[in-house]
Amino acid sequence: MCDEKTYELFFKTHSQVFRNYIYYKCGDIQQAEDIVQDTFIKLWKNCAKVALEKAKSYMFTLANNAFLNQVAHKKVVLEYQKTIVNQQTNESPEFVLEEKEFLTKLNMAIADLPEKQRVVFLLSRIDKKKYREISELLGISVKAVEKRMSQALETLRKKISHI
Amino acid sequence: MKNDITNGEIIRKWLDGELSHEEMEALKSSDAYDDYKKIIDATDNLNAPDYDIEKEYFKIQNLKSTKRSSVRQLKQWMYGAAAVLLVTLGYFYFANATTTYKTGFGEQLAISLPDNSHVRLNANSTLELKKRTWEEDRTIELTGEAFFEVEKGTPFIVKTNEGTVEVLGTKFNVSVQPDFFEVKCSEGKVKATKFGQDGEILTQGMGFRTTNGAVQKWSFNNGQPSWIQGESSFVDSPLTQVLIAFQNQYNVTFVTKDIDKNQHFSGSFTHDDINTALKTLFDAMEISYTFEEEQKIVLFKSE
Repeated sequence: MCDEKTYELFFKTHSQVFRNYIYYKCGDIQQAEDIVQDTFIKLWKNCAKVALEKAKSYMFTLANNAFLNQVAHKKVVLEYQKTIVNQQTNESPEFVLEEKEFLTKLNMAIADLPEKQRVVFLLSRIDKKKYREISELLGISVKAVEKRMSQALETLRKKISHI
Repeated sequence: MKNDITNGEIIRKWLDGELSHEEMEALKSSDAYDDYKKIIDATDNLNAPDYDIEKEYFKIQNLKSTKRSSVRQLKQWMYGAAAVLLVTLGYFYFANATTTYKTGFGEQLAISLPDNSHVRLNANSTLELKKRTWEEDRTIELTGEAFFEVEKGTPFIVKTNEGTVEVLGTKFNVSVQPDFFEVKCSEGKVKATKFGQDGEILTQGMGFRTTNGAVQKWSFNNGQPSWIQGESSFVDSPLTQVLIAFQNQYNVTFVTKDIDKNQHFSGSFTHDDINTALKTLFDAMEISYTFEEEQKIVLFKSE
């Protein structure tokens, strides 16, 4: 891990998912990026003690520890894909409007999900992580990921059909 | 059936595309499927806030080095060595720093040099020089066209891709394009050297030109080139060069059909109005022109 090239590759492969993960937890993009920085600096300082294959879980432990001290939580707000309007130019304006409304509702419902469900749901849907990868990242079983995911879907469904 | 869909395993297989045909049918027939599908499809249009990996890595790099320096102390002599290195590098950097002047289509630029010499740069041209060492080494690199008024002093050298011009103190115009090198002397004496040929001494009112290796010499009267007054003029110039000059002023491209581009042209065109310019240029040569697109002009023989 003390090798500059290895470190760089590690950073570039994982820092984004890592940043998103923290963001999904706390909803504060600035805080998420600060934590990513801190933990990566700590990783560099301790590079001799951390093997490459352990580095990922080491980072998540560090980040989770950082959370114990930070309580301020904000709502997670996702951005709508900018191309969405272009993709649907052949649709009626009413439909486009409906879609937008639906996305807004969905966004709010996601923000209101319990943290554990939200993190799993977004890692899967936004970062396109497989269940197995999520389970490795969070240090939980695939079964637990399955459970959180289906709970998240059911919660979202109830929320949205209620509105 | 209703319980099936909230079964995490089914959802996982569904999202990972691992459901069998039967399982898929069963899933589709359940109440929640439509809602789930709508939610899942919608998430494809959602993004996390932007993340610039390179930028973030750069920040980390900075933080890494600041945190480390407190751990690893530099030896005293290293500071001295570093300072000397920095000063030396700085000196070479400044001594070799080149200043570049560039004009776009239809632009002109007047440049005053440190020794009070003046350069007028025509459209779509570039000029490079080292201001720092100018007094000792008056060398300029030119692409395109420029008019020089040179103060007396050390040799003043204009380097181009086609040849060089060397003077002591005078006024002259240099125009260079691929396979085209033209020098017109307005005052004093200049030496123009086309690469691979002997140098040519030009005195006031003499013009020298090589086009694809062919040499042409002529004399003219006016002091300053006319392009400085907003008009490009030509004396027996190949049409190719006239077209290039025109393109540089008006940012257009020409498509020639059955035109002989090696025919020669004498005359001028204005820089102010493209229609007048086209008319004066091509009517005389019996060439017709049409705009194929806004900036693309097709040339063909008049009937």
